[in-house]
Amino acid sequence: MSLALASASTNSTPPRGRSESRTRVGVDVQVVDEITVSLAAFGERYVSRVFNAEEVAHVRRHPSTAASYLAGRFAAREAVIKVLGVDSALAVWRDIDIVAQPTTTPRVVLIDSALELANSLGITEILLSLSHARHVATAVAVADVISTSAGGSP
Amino acid sequence: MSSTSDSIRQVLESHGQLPVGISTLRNGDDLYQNGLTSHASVNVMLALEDTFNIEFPDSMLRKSTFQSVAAIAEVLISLGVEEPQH
Repeated sequence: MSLALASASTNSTPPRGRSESRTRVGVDVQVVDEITVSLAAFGERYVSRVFNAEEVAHVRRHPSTAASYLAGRFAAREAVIKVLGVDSALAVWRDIDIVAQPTTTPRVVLIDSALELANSLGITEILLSLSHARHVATAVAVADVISTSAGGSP
Repeated sequence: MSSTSDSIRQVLESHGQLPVGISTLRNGDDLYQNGLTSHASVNVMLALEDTFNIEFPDSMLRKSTFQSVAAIAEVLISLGVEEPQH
């Protein structure tokens, strides 16, 4: 299941020489059972093709909760992909790391192509919120886009 | 012997999780507009690799590759998959 990227402007007509702040939002919902089906059909090949080494290791350590965990990670990446507004290329997908934090929600770390894309869009940080229920995982990603308009003093 | 398009349709039937029957779609119809999700497209990719004994390079792992039966067939041909001889 996927929902469209939303982009909202909080200051659509900035004065000359002032920075413009826009907010980009991506949201995704992933059904846990779909992950279970993929694990049954393709096993470790599915995991290693779609997820990073840390996530593969987590699944090996915790096989009983693998589907729910991976559903959250899949939803998180899809939400970030929507913030970046790309064609869901797996090449970019693998350049999005969702890094577990001890006490807070996972952090988004972009590398290589995803980082270049974010830089080109004026995105310096993407905030993520994840939620799990028994059958679904959902993620919301939010980023401020800062662009400075050209011009002289106001 | 089934054609490449027939084999693609069988993969979509088994792994595409489409809300509509694949038989109701034409080769050029947009699969995403007809309910193919990002996650299901990953399953379709893996099943196509098994069916045709190929591996999709990263550069082809984008939404447009799996946009339609015709688009998938075109990509498979570019990867060296040959249409079966009748």
